[in-house]
Amino acid sequence: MCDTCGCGEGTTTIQTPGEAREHAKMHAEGIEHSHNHDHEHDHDHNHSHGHSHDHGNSHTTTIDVETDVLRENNLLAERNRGIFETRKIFALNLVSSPGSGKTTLLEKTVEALRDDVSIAVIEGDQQSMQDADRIDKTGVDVVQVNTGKGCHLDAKMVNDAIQKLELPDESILMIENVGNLVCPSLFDLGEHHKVVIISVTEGQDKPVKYPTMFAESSVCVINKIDLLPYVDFDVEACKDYARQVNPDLTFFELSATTSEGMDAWLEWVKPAGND
Amino acid sequence: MHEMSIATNILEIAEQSMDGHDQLLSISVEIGELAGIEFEALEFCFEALKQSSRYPDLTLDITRIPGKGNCRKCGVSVPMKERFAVCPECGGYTVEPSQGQELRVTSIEVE
Repeated sequence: MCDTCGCGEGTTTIQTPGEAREHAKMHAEGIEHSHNHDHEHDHDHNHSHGHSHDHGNSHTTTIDVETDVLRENNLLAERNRGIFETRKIFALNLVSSPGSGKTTLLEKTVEALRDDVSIAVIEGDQQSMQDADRIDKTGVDVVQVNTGKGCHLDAKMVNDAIQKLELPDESILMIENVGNLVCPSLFDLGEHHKVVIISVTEGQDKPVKYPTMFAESSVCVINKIDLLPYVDFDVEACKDYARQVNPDLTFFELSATTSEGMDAWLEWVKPAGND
Repeated sequence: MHEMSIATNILEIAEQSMDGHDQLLSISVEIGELAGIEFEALEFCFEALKQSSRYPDLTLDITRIPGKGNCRKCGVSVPMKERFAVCPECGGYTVEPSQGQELRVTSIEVE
Protein backbone atom coordinates (compact mmCIF):
# COMPACT_ATOMS: atom_id res chain seq x y z
CA MET A 1 0.00 0.00 0.00
CA CYS A 2 1.00 3.61 -0.33
CA ASP A 3 3.14 4.16 2.75
CA THR A 4 2.53 7.88 2.73
CA CYS A 5 -1.23 8.16 2.64
CA GLY A 6 -2.38 4.58 3.21
CA CYS A 7 -4.24 4.24 -0.09
CA GLY A 8 -4.56 0.93 -1.89
CA GLU A 9 -4.31 -1.06 1.31
CA GLY A 10 -3.09 -4.58 0.79
CA THR A 11 -1.41 -4.06 -2.55
CA THR A 12 2.27 -4.27 -3.28
CA THR A 13 4.22 -1.11 -4.03
CA ILE A 14 7.73 -0.88 -5.40
CA GLN A 15 9.58 2.42 -5.14
CA THR A 16 12.98 3.95 -4.78
CA PRO A 17 13.81 6.33 -1.90
CA GLY A 18 13.87 9.33 -4.31
CA GLU A 19 10.37 8.59 -5.55
CA ALA A 20 9.09 8.18 -2.01
CA ARG A 21 10.53 11.56 -0.99
CA GLU A 22 8.90 13.22 -3.99
CA HIS A 23 5.58 11.57 -3.16
CA ALA A 24 5.79 12.62 0.50
CA LYS A 25 6.52 16.18 -0.62
CA MET A 26 3.40 16.25 -2.76
CA HIS A 27 1.32 15.18 0.21
CA ALA A 28 3.00 17.70 2.52
CA GLU A 29 2.46 20.56 0.10
CA GLY A 30 -1.05 19.51 -0.84
CA ILE A 31 -0.16 19.05 -4.51
CA GLU A 32 -2.88 17.12 -6.32
CA HIS A 33 -1.72 13.82 -7.79
CA SER A 34 -3.03 10.40 -8.66
CA HIS A 35 -2.08 7.04 -7.23
CA ASN A 36 -1.54 3.85 -9.15
CA HIS A 37 -3.39 1.12 -7.35
CA ASP A 38 -1.87 -1.60 -9.52
CA HIS A 39 -4.88 -3.85 -9.20
CA GLU A 40 -8.13 -4.42 -10.98
CA HIS A 41 -11.39 -3.29 -9.48
CA ASP A 42 -14.15 -5.85 -9.39
CA HIS A 43 -17.54 -4.53 -10.34
CA ASP A 44 -20.82 -6.15 -9.59
CA HIS A 45 -22.82 -6.93 -12.71
CA ASN A 46 -26.46 -7.72 -12.71
CA HIS A 47 -27.16 -10.76 -14.84
CA SER A 48 -30.90 -10.93 -14.28
CA HIS A 49 -32.67 -12.36 -17.34
CA GLY A 50 -36.20 -11.38 -16.34
CA HIS A 51 -37.45 -14.91 -16.77
CA SER A 52 -36.95 -18.19 -15.05
CA HIS A 53 -35.08 -21.17 -16.42
CA ASP A 54 -36.50 -24.56 -15.88
CA HIS A 55 -33.57 -26.89 -15.71
CA GLY A 56 -34.50 -30.51 -15.75
CA ASN A 57 -30.90 -31.60 -15.57
CA SER A 58 -27.62 -30.28 -14.25
CA HIS A 59 -25.21 -28.36 -16.45
CA THR A 60 -22.32 -28.96 -14.10
CA THR A 61 -19.06 -29.88 -15.77
CA THR A 62 -15.85 -31.05 -14.16
CA ILE A 63 -12.61 -29.83 -15.71
CA ASP A 64 -9.30 -31.52 -14.94
CA VAL A 65 -6.73 -28.90 -13.96
CA GLU A 66 -3.76 -30.75 -12.39
CA THR A 67 -1.74 -27.61 -11.86
CA ASP A 68 0.84 -26.91 -9.18
CA VAL A 69 -0.37 -24.02 -7.01
CA LEU A 70 3.08 -22.43 -7.07
CA ARG A 71 3.46 -22.83 -10.85
CA GLU A 72 3.26 -19.12 -11.64
CA ASN A 73 5.76 -18.21 -8.94
CA ASN A 74 8.14 -20.96 -9.98
CA LEU A 75 7.97 -19.94 -13.66
CA LEU A 76 8.81 -16.36 -12.72
CA ALA A 77 11.60 -17.58 -10.44
CA GLU A 78 13.02 -19.44 -13.44
CA ARG A 79 12.83 -16.23 -15.46
CA ASN A 80 14.71 -14.40 -12.70
CA ARG A 81 17.28 -17.20 -12.60
CA GLY A 82 17.74 -16.83 -16.36
CA ILE A 83 18.37 -13.09 -15.99
CA PHE A 84 20.87 -13.71 -13.19
CA GLU A 85 22.70 -16.42 -15.13
CA THR A 86 23.00 -14.67 -18.47
CA ARG A 87 24.07 -11.40 -16.88
CA LYS A 88 26.32 -12.97 -14.25
CA ILE A 89 24.41 -11.47 -11.35
CA PHE A 90 25.00 -13.17 -8.01
CA ALA A 91 21.69 -13.06 -6.12
CA LEU A 92 21.32 -13.68 -2.40
CA ASN A 93 18.01 -13.90 -0.53
CA LEU A 94 18.47 -12.87 3.11
CA VAL A 95 15.88 -14.44 5.39
CA SER A 96 15.42 -14.31 9.16
CA SER A 97 13.02 -13.40 11.92
CA PRO A 98 12.59 -9.65 12.56
CA GLY A 99 15.43 -8.05 14.48
CA SER A 100 18.23 -10.48 13.63
CA GLY A 101 20.26 -7.66 12.09
CA LYS A 102 19.70 -8.25 8.37
CA THR A 103 19.74 -4.57 7.45
CA THR A 104 22.88 -3.82 9.48
CA LEU A 105 24.61 -6.82 7.88
CA LEU A 106 23.53 -5.49 4.47
CA GLU A 107 24.79 -1.97 5.19
CA LYS A 108 28.18 -3.25 6.32
CA THR A 109 28.46 -5.68 3.42
CA VAL A 110 27.57 -3.04 0.87
CA GLU A 111 29.99 -0.51 2.39
CA ALA A 112 32.83 -3.05 2.32
CA LEU A 113 32.30 -4.27 -1.24
CA ARG A 114 30.84 -1.32 -3.17
CA ASP A 115 34.21 -0.06 -4.43
CA ASP A 116 35.14 -3.46 -5.91
CA VAL A 117 31.86 -4.65 -7.37
CA SER A 118 28.45 -3.28 -8.38
CA ILE A 119 25.83 -4.04 -5.76
CA ALA A 120 22.10 -3.43 -5.74
CA VAL A 121 19.59 -4.13 -3.00
CA ILE A 122 15.91 -5.07 -2.93
CA GLU A 123 14.34 -4.36 0.44
CA GLY A 124 11.21 -6.25 1.44
CA ASP A 125 8.94 -5.13 4.26
CA GLN A 126 5.22 -4.94 4.82
CA GLN A 127 5.36 -1.17 5.15
CA SER A 128 7.67 1.85 5.28
CA MET A 129 10.79 3.02 3.48
CA GLN A 130 12.97 2.68 6.62
CA ASP A 131 15.34 0.03 5.32
CA ALA A 132 15.60 1.42 1.78
CA ASP A 133 16.48 4.83 3.23
CA ARG A 134 19.27 3.24 5.28
CA ILE A 135 20.71 1.44 2.26
CA ASP A 136 20.26 4.55 0.10
CA LYS A 137 22.74 6.35 2.35
CA THR A 138 25.44 3.85 1.38
CA GLY A 139 25.16 5.11 -2.20
CA VAL A 140 24.11 1.86 -3.91
CA ASP A 141 20.90 1.39 -5.89
CA VAL A 142 18.01 0.22 -3.77
CA VAL A 143 14.34 -0.50 -4.33
CA GLN A 144 11.81 -0.95 -1.56
CA VAL A 145 9.07 -3.54 -2.04
CA ASN A 146 6.20 -3.03 0.38
CA THR A 147 4.07 -6.15 0.49
CA GLY A 148 1.17 -4.54 2.38
CA LYS A 149 -0.40 -7.48 4.16
CA GLY A 150 1.93 -9.97 2.50
CA CYS A 151 4.35 -11.89 4.70
CA HIS A 152 7.01 -12.71 2.10
CA LEU A 153 8.47 -11.63 -1.22
CA ASP A 154 7.48 -13.64 -4.27
CA ALA A 155 9.19 -14.06 -7.62
CA LYS A 156 6.97 -11.48 -9.35
CA MET A 157 7.83 -8.76 -6.83
CA VAL A 158 11.52 -9.48 -7.39
CA ASN A 159 11.03 -9.48 -11.16
CA ASP A 160 9.26 -6.10 -11.00
CA ALA A 161 11.97 -4.72 -8.71
CA ILE A 162 14.72 -5.93 -11.06
CA GLN A 163 13.13 -3.93 -13.92
CA LYS A 164 13.26 -0.85 -11.74
CA LEU A 165 16.84 -1.35 -10.59
CA GLU A 166 18.44 -1.76 -14.05
CA LEU A 167 21.08 -4.05 -12.62
CA PRO A 168 24.49 -3.91 -14.24
CA ASP A 169 26.08 -7.15 -15.50
CA GLU A 170 28.47 -8.97 -13.18
CA SER A 171 26.94 -7.44 -10.10
CA ILE A 172 25.66 -8.64 -6.75
CA LEU A 173 21.96 -8.45 -5.94
CA MET A 174 21.06 -8.68 -2.28
CA ILE A 175 17.41 -9.26 -1.46
CA GLU A 176 16.30 -8.61 2.10
CA ASN A 177 13.14 -10.63 2.58
CA VAL A 178 10.32 -9.75 4.97
CA GLY A 179 11.33 -10.63 8.55
CA ASN A 180 9.61 -13.99 8.92
CA LEU A 181 11.12 -17.45 9.36
CA VAL A 182 8.13 -19.33 7.94
CA CYS A 183 6.52 -18.02 4.75
CA PRO A 184 9.53 -16.92 2.66
CA SER A 185 10.79 -20.52 2.72
CA LEU A 186 8.02 -21.55 0.34
CA PHE A 187 8.69 -18.99 -2.40
CA ASP A 188 11.55 -19.47 -4.84
CA LEU A 189 12.77 -16.06 -6.03
CA GLY A 190 15.34 -17.43 -8.48
CA GLU A 191 18.18 -16.58 -6.09
CA HIS A 192 21.49 -18.46 -5.93
CA HIS A 193 21.33 -18.92 -2.17
CA LYS A 194 18.99 -18.33 0.69
CA VAL A 195 21.08 -16.98 3.57
CA VAL A 196 19.36 -17.51 6.92
CA ILE A 197 20.45 -15.15 9.68
CA ILE A 198 20.05 -15.95 13.35
CA SER A 199 21.22 -13.64 16.13
CA VAL A 200 22.54 -14.79 19.50
CA THR A 201 19.73 -12.95 21.25
CA GLU A 202 17.33 -15.54 19.86
CA GLY A 203 16.86 -19.13 20.99
CA GLN A 204 19.63 -21.48 19.88
CA ASP A 205 16.99 -24.10 19.05
CA LYS A 206 15.35 -21.97 16.35
CA PRO A 207 16.68 -24.22 13.55
CA VAL A 208 14.59 -27.15 14.77
CA LYS A 209 11.60 -24.94 15.59
CA TYR A 210 11.57 -23.46 12.09
CA PRO A 211 13.27 -26.28 10.19
CA THR A 212 12.02 -25.57 6.68
CA MET A 213 13.83 -22.25 6.44
CA PHE A 214 17.12 -23.78 7.61
CA ALA A 215 16.65 -26.69 5.21
CA GLU A 216 15.98 -24.39 2.24
CA SER A 217 19.00 -22.19 3.02
CA SER A 218 22.55 -23.04 2.04
CA VAL A 219 24.23 -20.48 4.30
CA CYS A 220 23.61 -19.65 7.96
CA VAL A 221 24.95 -16.43 9.48
CA ILE A 222 25.08 -16.33 13.28
CA ASN A 223 25.00 -12.59 14.00
CA LYS A 224 25.63 -10.37 17.06
CA ILE A 225 28.43 -12.59 18.44
CA ASP A 226 29.72 -9.52 20.32
CA LEU A 227 26.78 -10.07 22.69
CA LEU A 228 27.72 -13.69 23.52
CA PRO A 229 29.16 -12.80 26.96
CA TYR A 230 25.79 -11.36 27.97
CA VAL A 231 23.34 -13.93 26.65
CA ASP A 232 22.62 -17.60 27.14
CA PHE A 233 23.38 -18.86 23.63
CA ASP A 234 25.55 -21.86 22.76
CA VAL A 235 26.87 -21.38 19.21
CA GLU A 236 27.88 -25.03 18.78
CA ALA A 237 24.50 -26.24 20.02
CA CYS A 238 22.80 -23.91 17.54
CA LYS A 239 24.94 -25.28 14.71
CA ASP A 240 24.17 -28.86 15.77
CA TYR A 241 20.46 -28.10 15.68
CA ALA A 242 20.83 -26.52 12.25
CA ARG A 243 22.82 -29.50 10.92
CA GLN A 244 20.04 -31.82 12.04
CA VAL A 245 17.78 -30.34 9.38
CA ASN A 246 20.51 -29.43 6.88
CA PRO A 247 23.89 -31.16 7.18
CA ASP A 248 25.28 -29.13 4.25
CA LEU A 249 24.87 -25.62 5.75
CA THR A 250 27.84 -23.26 5.57
CA PHE A 251 28.18 -21.14 8.74
CA PHE A 252 29.52 -17.65 9.33
CA GLU A 253 29.79 -16.34 12.89
CA LEU A 254 30.06 -12.56 12.96
CA SER A 255 28.99 -9.27 14.41
CA ALA A 256 27.83 -6.80 11.77
CA THR A 257 28.02 -4.08 14.44
CA THR A 258 31.67 -4.58 15.49
CA SER A 259 32.81 -6.17 12.16
CA GLU A 260 34.23 -9.18 14.02
CA GLY A 261 34.12 -12.18 11.67
CA MET A 262 33.00 -10.06 8.69
CA ASP A 263 36.04 -10.86 6.51
CA ALA A 264 35.13 -14.51 5.92
CA TRP A 265 31.56 -13.51 5.05
CA LEU A 266 32.73 -10.80 2.64
CA GLU A 267 35.09 -13.24 0.91
CA TRP A 268 32.17 -15.56 0.39
CA VAL A 269 29.82 -12.86 -0.92
CA LYS A 270 32.29 -11.60 -3.51
CA PRO A 271 31.44 -13.49 -6.72
CA ALA A 272 35.04 -14.67 -6.99
CA GLY A 273 34.59 -16.38 -3.66
CA ASN A 274 31.83 -18.51 -5.07
CA ASP A 275 33.38 -19.95 -8.19
CA MET B 1 0.23 -16.44 6.66
CA HIS B 2 1.44 -17.43 3.22
CA GLU B 3 -1.89 -19.28 3.08
CA MET B 4 -3.48 -16.07 1.71
CA SER B 5 -1.07 -16.13 -1.26
CA ILE B 6 -1.78 -19.82 -1.72
CA ALA B 7 -5.56 -19.25 -1.61
CA THR B 8 -5.19 -16.43 -4.17
CA ASN B 9 -3.11 -18.67 -6.44
CA ILE B 10 -5.69 -21.48 -6.17
CA LEU B 11 -8.50 -19.13 -7.20
CA GLU B 12 -6.45 -17.67 -10.08
CA ILE B 13 -5.56 -21.11 -11.43
CA ALA B 14 -9.24 -22.14 -11.22
CA GLU B 15 -10.39 -18.98 -13.03
CA GLN B 16 -7.82 -19.53 -15.78
CA SER B 17 -9.13 -23.08 -16.28
CA MET B 18 -12.85 -22.27 -16.65
CA ASP B 19 -12.81 -22.81 -20.41
CA GLY B 20 -15.55 -20.29 -21.21
CA HIS B 21 -17.94 -21.31 -18.42
CA ASP B 22 -19.56 -18.58 -16.30
CA GLN B 23 -19.96 -20.15 -12.92
CA LEU B 24 -17.25 -21.63 -10.75
CA LEU B 25 -18.87 -24.00 -8.26
CA SER B 26 -16.04 -25.82 -6.57
CA ILE B 27 -12.29 -26.27 -6.63
CA SER B 28 -10.60 -29.53 -5.71
CA VAL B 29 -7.06 -29.41 -4.41
CA GLU B 30 -4.57 -31.98 -3.15
CA ILE B 31 -2.34 -30.80 -0.36
CA GLY B 32 0.29 -32.86 1.39
CA GLU B 33 0.66 -32.74 5.13
CA LEU B 34 4.34 -31.84 4.63
CA ALA B 35 3.69 -29.01 2.15
CA GLY B 36 4.04 -26.29 4.78
CA ILE B 37 0.36 -25.36 4.66
CA GLU B 38 -1.78 -24.83 7.72
CA PHE B 39 -5.07 -26.35 6.57
CA GLU B 40 -7.31 -24.31 8.86
CA ALA B 41 -5.54 -21.10 7.89
CA LEU B 42 -5.98 -21.92 4.20
CA GLU B 43 -9.70 -22.58 4.68
CA PHE B 44 -10.03 -19.33 6.62
CA CYS B 45 -8.21 -17.35 3.92
CA PHE B 46 -10.24 -18.98 1.16
CA GLU B 47 -13.52 -18.09 2.90
CA ALA B 48 -12.40 -14.47 3.15
CA LEU B 49 -11.21 -14.43 -0.45
CA LYS B 50 -14.34 -15.92 -2.01
CA GLN B 51 -16.56 -13.30 -0.37
CA SER B 52 -14.88 -10.64 -2.47
CA SER B 53 -14.78 -12.84 -5.58
CA ARG B 54 -17.47 -13.29 -8.21
CA TYR B 55 -18.33 -16.69 -6.72
CA PRO B 56 -19.47 -16.24 -3.08
CA ASP B 57 -20.92 -19.79 -3.01
CA LEU B 58 -17.71 -21.42 -4.18
CA THR B 59 -16.50 -24.43 -2.21
CA LEU B 60 -12.96 -25.68 -1.72
CA ASP B 61 -12.51 -29.44 -1.43
CA ILE B 62 -9.19 -30.31 0.12
CA THR B 63 -7.80 -33.83 -0.16
CA ARG B 64 -5.07 -34.30 2.43
CA ILE B 65 -2.16 -36.47 1.39
CA PRO B 66 -0.46 -38.04 4.41
CA GLY B 67 3.29 -37.69 4.79
CA LYS B 68 5.58 -40.65 4.11
CA GLY B 69 9.32 -40.95 3.92
CA ASN B 70 12.31 -43.24 3.58
CA CYS B 71 15.22 -43.17 5.99
CA ARG B 72 18.48 -42.63 4.10
CA LYS B 73 20.43 -44.37 6.84
CA CYS B 74 18.51 -47.56 7.56
CA GLY B 75 16.22 -47.70 4.53
CA VAL B 76 12.90 -48.05 6.31
CA SER B 77 9.71 -46.46 5.01
CA VAL B 78 7.94 -44.50 7.76
CA PRO B 79 4.86 -42.29 8.10
CA MET B 80 5.82 -38.63 8.60
CA LYS B 81 3.82 -36.12 10.60
CA GLU B 82 6.40 -33.32 10.16
CA ARG B 83 8.84 -32.35 7.43
CA PHE B 84 11.84 -33.11 9.68
CA ALA B 85 10.93 -36.28 11.50
CA VAL B 86 13.21 -38.48 13.54
CA CYS B 87 13.58 -42.00 12.14
CA PRO B 88 11.86 -44.34 14.61
CA GLU B 89 14.38 -47.09 13.72
CA CYS B 90 17.75 -45.34 13.95
CA GLY B 91 16.90 -42.00 15.61
CA GLY B 92 18.53 -39.91 12.87
CA TYR B 93 17.09 -36.88 11.07
CA THR B 94 17.66 -38.61 7.77
CA VAL B 95 14.10 -39.32 6.67
CA GLU B 96 13.58 -38.18 3.08
CA PRO B 97 9.93 -37.35 2.30
CA SER B 98 8.47 -39.49 -0.50
CA GLN B 99 4.88 -38.30 -0.20
CA GLY B 100 3.06 -35.39 1.41
CA GLN B 101 4.58 -32.33 -0.28
CA GLU B 102 1.84 -32.04 -2.93
CA LEU B 103 0.23 -28.64 -3.51
CA ARG B 104 -1.93 -28.67 -6.62
CA VAL B 105 -5.33 -27.86 -8.04
CA THR B 106 -6.65 -31.16 -9.38
CA SER B 107 -10.02 -30.17 -10.88
CA ILE B 108 -12.79 -27.59 -10.88
CA GLU B 109 -16.53 -27.84 -11.19
CA VAL B 110 -18.15 -25.25 -13.46
CA GLU B 111 -21.53 -24.47 -14.92
